Amino acid sequence: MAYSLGIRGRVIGLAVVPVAIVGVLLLFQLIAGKIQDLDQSLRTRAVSIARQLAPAVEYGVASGNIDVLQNLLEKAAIEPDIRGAAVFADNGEWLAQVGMGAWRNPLRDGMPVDRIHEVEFADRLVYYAPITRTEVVVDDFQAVESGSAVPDRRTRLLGWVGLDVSRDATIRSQRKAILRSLGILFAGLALSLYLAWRIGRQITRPILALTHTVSRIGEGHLDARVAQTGRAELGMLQRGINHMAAHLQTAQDQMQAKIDQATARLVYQASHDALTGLINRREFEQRLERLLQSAIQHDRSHALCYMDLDQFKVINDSCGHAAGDELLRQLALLLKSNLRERDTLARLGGDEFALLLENCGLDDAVQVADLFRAEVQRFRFKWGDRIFAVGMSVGMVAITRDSGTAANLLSAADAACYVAKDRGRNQIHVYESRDLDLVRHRGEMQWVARIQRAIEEHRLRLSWQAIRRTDGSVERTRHVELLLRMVDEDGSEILPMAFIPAAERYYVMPALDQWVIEETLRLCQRCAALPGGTGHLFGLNLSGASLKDPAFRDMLLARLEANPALGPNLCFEITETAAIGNLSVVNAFIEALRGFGCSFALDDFGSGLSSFNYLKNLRVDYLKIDGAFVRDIVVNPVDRAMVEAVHRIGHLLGLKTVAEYVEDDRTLALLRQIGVDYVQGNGVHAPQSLDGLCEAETPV
Amino acid sequence: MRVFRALLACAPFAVSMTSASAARVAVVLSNDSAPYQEVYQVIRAVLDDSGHDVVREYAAALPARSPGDAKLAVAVGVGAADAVAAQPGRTPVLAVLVPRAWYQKTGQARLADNGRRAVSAIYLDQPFERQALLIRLAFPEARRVGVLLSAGQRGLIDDIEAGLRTQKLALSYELVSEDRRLALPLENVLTEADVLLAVPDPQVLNASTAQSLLLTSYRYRDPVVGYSRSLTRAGALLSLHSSPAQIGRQAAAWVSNALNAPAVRLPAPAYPAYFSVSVNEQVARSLGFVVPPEGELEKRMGGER
Repeated sequence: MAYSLGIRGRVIGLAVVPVAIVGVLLLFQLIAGKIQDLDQSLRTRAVSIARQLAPAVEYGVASGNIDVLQNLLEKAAIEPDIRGAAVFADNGEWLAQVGMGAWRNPLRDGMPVDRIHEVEFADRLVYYAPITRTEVVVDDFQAVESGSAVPDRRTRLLGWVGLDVSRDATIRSQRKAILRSLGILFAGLALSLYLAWRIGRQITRPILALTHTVSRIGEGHLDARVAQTGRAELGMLQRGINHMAAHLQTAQDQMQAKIDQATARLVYQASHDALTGLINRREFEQRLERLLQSAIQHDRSHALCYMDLDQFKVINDSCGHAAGDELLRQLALLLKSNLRERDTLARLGGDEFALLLENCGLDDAVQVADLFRAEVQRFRFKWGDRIFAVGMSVGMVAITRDSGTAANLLSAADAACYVAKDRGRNQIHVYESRDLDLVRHRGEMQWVARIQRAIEEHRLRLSWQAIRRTDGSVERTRHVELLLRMVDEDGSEILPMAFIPAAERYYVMPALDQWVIEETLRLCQRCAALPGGTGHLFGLNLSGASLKDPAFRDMLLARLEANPALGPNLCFEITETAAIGNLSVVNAFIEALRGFGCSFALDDFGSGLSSFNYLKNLRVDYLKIDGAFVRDIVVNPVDRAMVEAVHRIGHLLGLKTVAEYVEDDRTLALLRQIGVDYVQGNGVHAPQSLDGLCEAETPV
Repeated sequence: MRVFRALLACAPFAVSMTSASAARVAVVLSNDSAPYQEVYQVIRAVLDDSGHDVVREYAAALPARSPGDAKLAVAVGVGAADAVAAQPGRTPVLAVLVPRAWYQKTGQARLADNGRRAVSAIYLDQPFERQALLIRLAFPEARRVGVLLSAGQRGLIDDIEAGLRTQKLALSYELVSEDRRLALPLENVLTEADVLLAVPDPQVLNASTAQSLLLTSYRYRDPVVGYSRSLTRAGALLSLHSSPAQIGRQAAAWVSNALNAPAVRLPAPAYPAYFSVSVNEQVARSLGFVVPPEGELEKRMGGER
């Protein structure tokens, strides 16, 4: 009720307070006036009685006639409010008395003889009026009197009349007047209060209705309306509030619609990938969980495919993200068009896609996945004037009641996909729990620790393989490639393909490369220290990760600055994929190293992007043709043509060409026929340990 | 008219005194109040006719202008008489409107200046015999007359008693000493007497005491016989008195006679020859008396208007 006190209380206060103030002031004024009037009138009356009584008793006093006095006093005492009256002689002696009264001796108390004296008490007034002789002319001629003494005032005084007047009646009527006035005041106040309350209610009732409606609207009942009762300000207020509520309702409806739309969009966005419109990882995992549950509860069989695009990174890096995105969009469209109704295709992130095949046995699943893979392989991605072929590696796992958790399934599919990639890409690999490749993959994480340990325990070794001129002539400087080997804890030797992928994936390549460089520098110094030793050109591999690492580059430059003489002995072998994406940085680095006399070789050319464009931009000295082409050059004319083309272009660019994987003499002969400058391979020189490298004089 | 007749009465006397020439008469007034002026007017009216020169003087201005060259001086009122007495000179003086008691006690001696000045007076008082007669005429039933006197006036008692005796009236009197209250002696007198005779005695009856005296008498239902018209108005049933005109007429006659004689000789002091009676009819009615009309009383008393 606090709100109703607000306005009603104020209206009541407004009406009553002025009335109360005016009333109290008037009452005070009236009572004061009335009391004064009453008192004044009592005094006037008393003085008048005393004034009349004084001459009346003159005779009685003069004649000493007590009866006359008594008679007069009794008559005077009949008057209202007179308590008593008394007469005193001029010597102050008491002559007569009527009624009550405690009298004083007027002579002794020095009462005035020429006027009426008033003595005031709380409950009564006492008056002493002097009695003087009335003068009567008795002589016709003043002569008679001239001889006599003129009577003075004192002799004219006969005595005093005392009059005792009660103030009780005055006080009583004062009290009555006060009570009556208070009664009127309170009655008036009560009436004002009632009227104010009525008026206040008239004002507050619509306002209360308004506040009720407003608070209902505030609580969200937008359909609440206030009844239209008034026409004046209140009416306007009521109309305004109804208007406002209607507007609010409309606005809220529109807002709700927008919110619903936005929510739907958010729900869609939360479950879908913005780029491709496929469902995203989160939604996919939920569906996977559902399928897994259905497999467990209803003993159904489903399949999960994990698909990773081959070469996506190359396209993304060389043509930019826009190209990568466009590729993903087009591929998503392609894959979606081949989807069965109940299958789910999702983009898990990057170039990873996943496929859920419901109620589908593994064999069927492999067929479906292969269809996908073939579609992707057929697909050509056009970007500007360039056309790219794309491959897809697929890892597949069956979803059965024994599949464990969804995370297990994803991990297994991912691992299977990796195996597929590892086996040469563009393949499908079905997960089997006893998969050797998976065992290896699972061991990758252990590899990181093993590599770190091997570095710390100095179990890394370098071996070397000679690179010789195809025509068999001998150069002054011996050209070899240094190859990294790891000695396992049991003493067996581990080839780099066993641990390099793990090192690349888990970013330990810079550490390995650093070890290789330091070891090579040491080897250079050792060879250079030998008197009369032949010059060497040591080829060593630099990974892309190391090239991109500023700390590694700084380290290498610092080492060369410390030993500038060793620069001409070094030939860094880099792959085109390592250079792509950092071309300017890599080129600057290459230039810096060339300043020390270092040379460069482009490794594994033809297996990756094989963009001749890079050959123009990368300032290298040697072009090493990928062994995959060289290996079958004798039986495969395409490979031979490929080698010839690469060789020709390399020569046109002024580069010396090197053929790897030369396993036999027929290949060597063919290469010689083609005109390739250098050969390398087990058929030329099998790798051997560094021991005695510097001392070895003659090629095998 | 009466004055005229009086002059006629004196005419043979005046004729015989042919040798008398016009003389100067000074009339000294105590003040300029109406009664004194009336006395002067009457004297002058009479004496002008006989060729005498009448000069009006006031007592207050007298020391500056001596009436020495006047042949006769008339002192009107006690104040005038005192003033004249204070003046040296041999001019005979006639004092009028003076109380008998005063004249006999002090006035005559002072005026006479050890016999060097001839003096006489016409009293203000009425003779007691005349008053007794009035009482007898007005209140035939009355037996005893009460009188209140101050101690100083004790000497009048015999005169009063003698006057009353002429009408077989007894006297009850009380002497009021100066410090005693009037009430008790008055009541004593009123208890005994049938009529209260007021005597001009300022010690007893004055402006202050008059009302209570009159009221007390009224309470005793005793009529008061006063000595002035004022007293009648104040509440005395009736009064016997002489008016200023009456006194003036008598004085004028005396002066005229004296001037016409070879040597100025004044008669012996005397009561007023002419008098009036005034009756308060209201008092008479209140007290239940039936009193003859004023004129009848005056006539029966032998008074001449």
